[in-house]
Amino acid sequence: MSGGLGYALRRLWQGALTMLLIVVFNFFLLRLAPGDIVDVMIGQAGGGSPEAMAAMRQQFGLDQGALVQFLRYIGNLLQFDLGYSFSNSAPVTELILGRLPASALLMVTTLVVAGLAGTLLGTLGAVWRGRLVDRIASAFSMIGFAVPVFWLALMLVVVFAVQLRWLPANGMVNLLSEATGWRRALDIARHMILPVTSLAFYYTAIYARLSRAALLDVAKADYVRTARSKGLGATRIVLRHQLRNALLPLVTMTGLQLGALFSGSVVIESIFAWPGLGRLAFDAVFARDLTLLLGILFFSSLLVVVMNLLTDFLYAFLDPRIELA
Amino acid sequence: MRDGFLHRFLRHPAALAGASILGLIALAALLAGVLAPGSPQAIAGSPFLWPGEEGHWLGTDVLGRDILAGLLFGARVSLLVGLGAAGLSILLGVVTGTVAGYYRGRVDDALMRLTEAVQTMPSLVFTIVVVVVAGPSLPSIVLAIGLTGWPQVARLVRAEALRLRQAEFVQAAIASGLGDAAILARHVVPNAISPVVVAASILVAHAILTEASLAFLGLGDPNAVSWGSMIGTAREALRSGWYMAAIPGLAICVAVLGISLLGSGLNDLLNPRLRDG
Repeated sequence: MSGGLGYALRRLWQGALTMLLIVVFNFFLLRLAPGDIVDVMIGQAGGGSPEAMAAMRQQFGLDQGALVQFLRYIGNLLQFDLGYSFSNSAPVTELILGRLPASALLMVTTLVVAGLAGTLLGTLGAVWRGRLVDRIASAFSMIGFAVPVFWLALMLVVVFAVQLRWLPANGMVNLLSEATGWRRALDIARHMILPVTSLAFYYTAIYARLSRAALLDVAKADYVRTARSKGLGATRIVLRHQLRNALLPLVTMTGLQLGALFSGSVVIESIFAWPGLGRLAFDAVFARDLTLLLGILFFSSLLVVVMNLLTDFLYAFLDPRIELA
Repeated sequence: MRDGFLHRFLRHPAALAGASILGLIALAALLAGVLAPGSPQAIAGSPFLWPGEEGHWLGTDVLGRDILAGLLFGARVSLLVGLGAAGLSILLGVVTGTVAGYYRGRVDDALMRLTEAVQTMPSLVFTIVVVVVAGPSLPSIVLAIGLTGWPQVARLVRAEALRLRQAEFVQAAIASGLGDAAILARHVVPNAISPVVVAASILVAHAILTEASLAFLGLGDPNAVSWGSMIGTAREALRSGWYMAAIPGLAICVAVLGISLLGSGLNDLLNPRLRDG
């Protein structure tokens, strides 16, 4: 068990180092921006009085060396103080935490939908390898990689919201309805269909390709041959023996792709006016609110590091053969 | 050997299709000024003309700019950003990966942490921050995208460099007293580069898609028409003129599809062992 603990501690240490490097990047970018932090924070808001700006410079230690500034910056981050957003007149941390649930709902739903659809496509492709189903699934994943997420979203809006008027294309709830409970949940679900479909398209392609490859890989394994020689049915072998083992690489991939998923949600949320972190980032771009943008970059990176650690531990738990040294 | 490769390339349907698509796009980019004289940002006719109306093959946009001209000049931006950003990523990745794999130990640890840090940050958010700081222009977009793509290359090259370090010809070069720089340049890099060829196609495709997203979000070069910025402008007109968004989007799909086909074709041709994977 001590091996497991050592592994966990080492991964935690690596995660912390990764975050430290990202903080250094952030700090570097802040210093590269025209003007200093105070200019960035209030200058673009319309300017403050010279006295107030001087007081802020002192407060941030801008009258001192770069090292002092950096230590203060890290000190603030450790207290989870990501600064103040002038465009929203609110602390960045508060803004981010307020927008997190909507983004989490969107991303988790996307992963579940894409995971199920992609694994289904990949399994069909692997079972009927080289046949028509496989060819269609392969063509689908090639297209899935090539279609820009934001364009797909707009085209879905044209068809389902503008022409057919079946689905809403804006926001998370119908602002006019005062529904609660199940009716409200149903309303949110209706608003989710288009954004989730656009975002899940690409991930379905990835899952389909990966699960097909993983299934074909384990098809050669001894235990599959044993199962076959026991006379088990093909469906049972695929479901109980192959798929279970083929799912492991998909877990790792999900951890690695979280950053990309977050990137995709920036674009999707800004198209569908989804009240999440991505929309917050889009508005920050428009207002050129660098403090808020860097806060979102820091927070989303932290999220990716934590999720990667969790998938690593989950992986080690699911597959005890993984070396824990 | 070269002859054999060319022969196999010409008989590989995916590789040939991909190369033809990219060739046509490159031709469009080169001849943009001849096929559509004048600035693509100039107003060429009445706005909201559907494809075919009043002699505009692909119609005009909300301001009356010719969509065909936008497509042709947009091809320049896409190819430029795609190749430029991929080139930068490859350069950074090859240098980092070679040094990390060859020197191992602490250098490797430090560089791998850096690689992981860059891979951790959501790439579009990082790119947006860099473009906001540096100001939206083609060079800053290339820089921002190039800075996010190198970790995959670094990992591939590092694995090769780790292996090559043990190879006899490298050991012989070390024993003969050749300097590190010469060993890396002459023996390690040329032999570590082959997996990069296939990764390059993914980088180019990724760069084109990212540039389109940036331009769509309003962070493109304000002095250039790009496929993404055309879609961004068309967003206001989805109700009355969806073709304005559909056409440049199809161009992006075709370009990325061409790159993917070429990449997977090259993969088959360069790694014949994996063909029956």
